[in-house]
Amino acid sequence: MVQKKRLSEMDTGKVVRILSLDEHPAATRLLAMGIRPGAFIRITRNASFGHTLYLESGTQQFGIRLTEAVNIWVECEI
Amino acid sequence: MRDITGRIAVIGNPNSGKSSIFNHLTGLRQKTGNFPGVTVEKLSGLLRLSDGREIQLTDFPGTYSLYPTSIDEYVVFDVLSNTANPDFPDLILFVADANRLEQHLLLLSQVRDLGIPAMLALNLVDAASQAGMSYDTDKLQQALNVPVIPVNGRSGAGMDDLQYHIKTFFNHPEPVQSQPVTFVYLPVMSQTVKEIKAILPDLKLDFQALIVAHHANQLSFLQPETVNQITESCNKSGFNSLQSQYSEIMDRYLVIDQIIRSCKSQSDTSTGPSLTRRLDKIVTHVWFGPILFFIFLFFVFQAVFTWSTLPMKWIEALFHNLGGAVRYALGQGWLASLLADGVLAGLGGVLVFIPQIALLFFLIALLEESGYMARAVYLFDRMMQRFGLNGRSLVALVSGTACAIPAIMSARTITNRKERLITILVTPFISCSARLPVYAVLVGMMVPAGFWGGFISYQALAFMGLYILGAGAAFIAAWVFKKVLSGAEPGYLLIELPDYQMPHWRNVLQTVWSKVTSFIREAGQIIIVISIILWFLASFGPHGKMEKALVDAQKEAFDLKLDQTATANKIASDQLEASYAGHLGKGLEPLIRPLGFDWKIGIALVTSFAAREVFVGTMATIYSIGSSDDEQSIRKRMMEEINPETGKRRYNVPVSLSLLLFYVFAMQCMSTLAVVKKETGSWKWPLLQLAFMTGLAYLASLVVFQSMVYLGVG
Repeated sequence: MVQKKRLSEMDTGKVVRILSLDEHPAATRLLAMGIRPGAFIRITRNASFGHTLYLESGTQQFGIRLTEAVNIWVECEI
Repeated sequence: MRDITGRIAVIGNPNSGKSSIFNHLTGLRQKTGNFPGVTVEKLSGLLRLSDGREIQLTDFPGTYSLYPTSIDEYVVFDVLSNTANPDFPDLILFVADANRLEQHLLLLSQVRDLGIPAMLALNLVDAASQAGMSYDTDKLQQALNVPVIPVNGRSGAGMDDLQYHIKTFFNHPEPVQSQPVTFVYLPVMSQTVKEIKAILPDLKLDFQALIVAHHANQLSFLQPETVNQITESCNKSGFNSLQSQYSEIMDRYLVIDQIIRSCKSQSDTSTGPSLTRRLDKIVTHVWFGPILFFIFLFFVFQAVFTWSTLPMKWIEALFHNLGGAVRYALGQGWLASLLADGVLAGLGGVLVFIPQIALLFFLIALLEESGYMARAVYLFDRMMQRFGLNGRSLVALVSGTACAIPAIMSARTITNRKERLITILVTPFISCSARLPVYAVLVGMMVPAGFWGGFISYQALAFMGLYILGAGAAFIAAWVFKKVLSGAEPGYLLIELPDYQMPHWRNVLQTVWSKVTSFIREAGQIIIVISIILWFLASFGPHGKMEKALVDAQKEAFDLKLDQTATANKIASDQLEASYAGHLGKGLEPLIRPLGFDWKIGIALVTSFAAREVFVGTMATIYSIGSSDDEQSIRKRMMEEINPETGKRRYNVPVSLSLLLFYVFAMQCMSTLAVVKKETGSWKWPLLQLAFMTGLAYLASLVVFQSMVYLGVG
């Protein structure tokens, strides 16, 4: 079964596909950086003090705060 | 000024290799300045074409789109959306990384819609082909309707071709187009666009109007009434900026994806995780990551401290000799004194920081260029955020143990304005190398030289305590500022972690060169002026007082049968007391008496404002030890000093501790204030810094001294 969830709720190690982004000032920048609907991303790990995610998408790597990940809706299999 | 044939703006995403290409084209013919009206640094350089014509290139800050999130990125649309801006280009040299072309074409498509002629330098095509990506550049050229030139910013490949295209362009420059070149149709908010074009008839293109709608209150070239008109019209037509940005970017990606599909072929060469991702397993590891970071920082700290000692000595010696030469040439007059003790001493005080600044920026540029810095930001962002800081603030704070000046300059890498401001404000709390001589004298007097448990020196412990005290004050102050200051900009991390690469030496050295020269030029002017004022205060006194002090000191010295050196020392000491600086010290006395300080310390506090290390030299003059800056003999003399009121030692534990605390917290460095003024673009912040740091110093010294006296210590 496929379920729609926020990126911030996902466990590390998962590969997910982005469905949509909430209307948020950070959304424009996420899109422009290539984190956009249709893209696959892996949530690789959490930072030492938590609250920050290491993402891999295509040939790129990103660091984003959980408060930013809340705005990203992803599709995952459960 | 030389005749310039035309202007080129170098535009691109962060990490697109823009700066390498800029450096290749302009070489050392670069200068830094500011974009008018904002404090964003502008790097421009000259390109000489083969026919002798000169083109001015400006390296714009990297940005992901024309919807900026930081002040650096804001400059790009502010300049490009205003044809009357003095920096408005004739041609845009757009740099894109062939490995991430889809994403980089987004900004190119926006820039094209502003009607400005452009060409695309497709960077790292060779690296992309190794990863199995190849492009049909002819097709790409056709689809994008701009010349496409494959280049490599690291090796310099393709630069001749690029110059040839630039030359061809300037043989028959195209004007800025008034017809839409849009390869994306913009259905979004056509009503708003129409109304804005009615308000600003100069705007020919839909996208120009749309940019105005998004950013009306940020664009520097609009009058306030116009801004109001635009905002009103946007509200009326129900313009939703966020929604419009979102759908515009998605529309653009639709077209871009189509172009990429037709021009790019991808063969599968995947060989497992890339080197970058394998390295990141350790570098960004929960435990190893922070440990590695502190090892790097320790190395940077150590290098800045030790490697710069020798060149700093050379510079000091050079200015000492120059001063001597000036005195020899000009004799004893006031002009010689002004040049030697005022101008040259002030200049020396600035230039002596250069080895540290250069070295620190060299190492930081290495960390930046290699891609490591982005990881440090990612690792510590959360911890620093709690204090209103940013991951990058940690770099500034640790650099501050060497010198606050380069540390404050390094805070430019912080994109969030509030986080950057707080970093600038609290960094001077970190004990810098200039405090060391002061600590050495006072700790030596106060703390016994023994060892705890046989091997840990009490004095070393005291030193460490002072550093911790400074760092603690920095974090607490940061937390207070986080609560007090308002932050209009939302804080983002959203950081790209670029692939690791060998640092590009050319870029690293260019960075060091441009930082050092801009420091000398801008901070230098202010420092020289203040040095001259301090020189005046110490060399002149109220009418006749200095002359009287000279005659009296000579007479006394004669009576006491002092030798030549002792006489000269006594004269210097008595004249300093009679000078304006001496009067200032005495004037200060009522204010600093509650802290346990007398007028002599008052003079040292006044002169220390130039730079803290001046404390030692001033003490030497006051206590007539002569010009020797030897810490041992000053300490010995200070320990012998008797307080006439109590008949006991002047520098007992309460006074020494109070003085130490004052030097830990107080803002006594005009070079730092000058740099803060330059970095924040306003006198408000350095003055605030001066007030709160010195206020805290006063309070800490007052509380400690008074309670120790109350408890009968010393």
